[in-house]
Amino acid sequence: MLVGNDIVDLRDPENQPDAIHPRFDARVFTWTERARILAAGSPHRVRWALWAAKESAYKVARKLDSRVCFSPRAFTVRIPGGETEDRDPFLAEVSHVLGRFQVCLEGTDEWIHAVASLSGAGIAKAGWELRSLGRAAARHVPGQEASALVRQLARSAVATALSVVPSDLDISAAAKRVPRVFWRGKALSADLSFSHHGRFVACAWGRVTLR
Amino acid sequence: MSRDETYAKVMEIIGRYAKNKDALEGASEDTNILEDLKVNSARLVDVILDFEDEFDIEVADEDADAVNTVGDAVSLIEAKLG
Repeated sequence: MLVGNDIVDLRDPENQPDAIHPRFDARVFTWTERARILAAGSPHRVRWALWAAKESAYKVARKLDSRVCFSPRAFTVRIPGGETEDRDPFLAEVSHVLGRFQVCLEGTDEWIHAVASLSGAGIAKAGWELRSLGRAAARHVPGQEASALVRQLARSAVATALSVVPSDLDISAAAKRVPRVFWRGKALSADLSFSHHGRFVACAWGRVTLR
Repeated sequence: MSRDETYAKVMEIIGRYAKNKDALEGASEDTNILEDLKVNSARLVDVILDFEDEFDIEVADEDADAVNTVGDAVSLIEAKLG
């Protein structure tokens, strides 16, 4: 079961409405999505929720077909009736030529996190974990450090999900830098996705078993 | 415009968004924009839009997606400028 995730630090100075390029929304969002942003009580939050939905779905799409290009407007976000971005978590559906992706979004005033999968059942079986790096990381966490932190987070979270000790698990990059999980040296079939932005790292994993 | 001039303008634009300032100082055409300079994917959209403004070109998403290194960006812009 494939998963993709994306974390957005809503307080990142570079993400603020006056910092992004004036044509950012037109480049990234469809007319319908832009109308939703404009009509929202918190346009900033909705902008990045829609972005995270697209990005997380893109990560799943890339696992399906490595030739997929990140063309943000080609990943169209629909929030089904009854769901609104004011709820937490809320569900969205992302359509692309490759198919439809189900996305669960949740967040606070500080961050928004999206987890995508190919079906609602996939989302129901997925797990995810998020960690704040603290205020010291507000500007920049070195890439290697963030990468190590998110792997550490994933190891701990997946170990809890499997009821095993974290030291028996290893998270390492396999082909095409896709992270894989190993238990006592044996590759498990669980799919993983990592994300880092600003003060936060987050990981998501598909249904995982020791078999 | 020479390749060196295009490179200088590209670096000036990317430098606005690069989180890894140490890598920026030692950057070359082989430097990876996302992985080495830590420009995140949302900021890469801003970088592409700044390229369009600076060089008066249009960059399709497919072309933008193929830009991994600073050299890729310079080559793309040179191709657009003809």
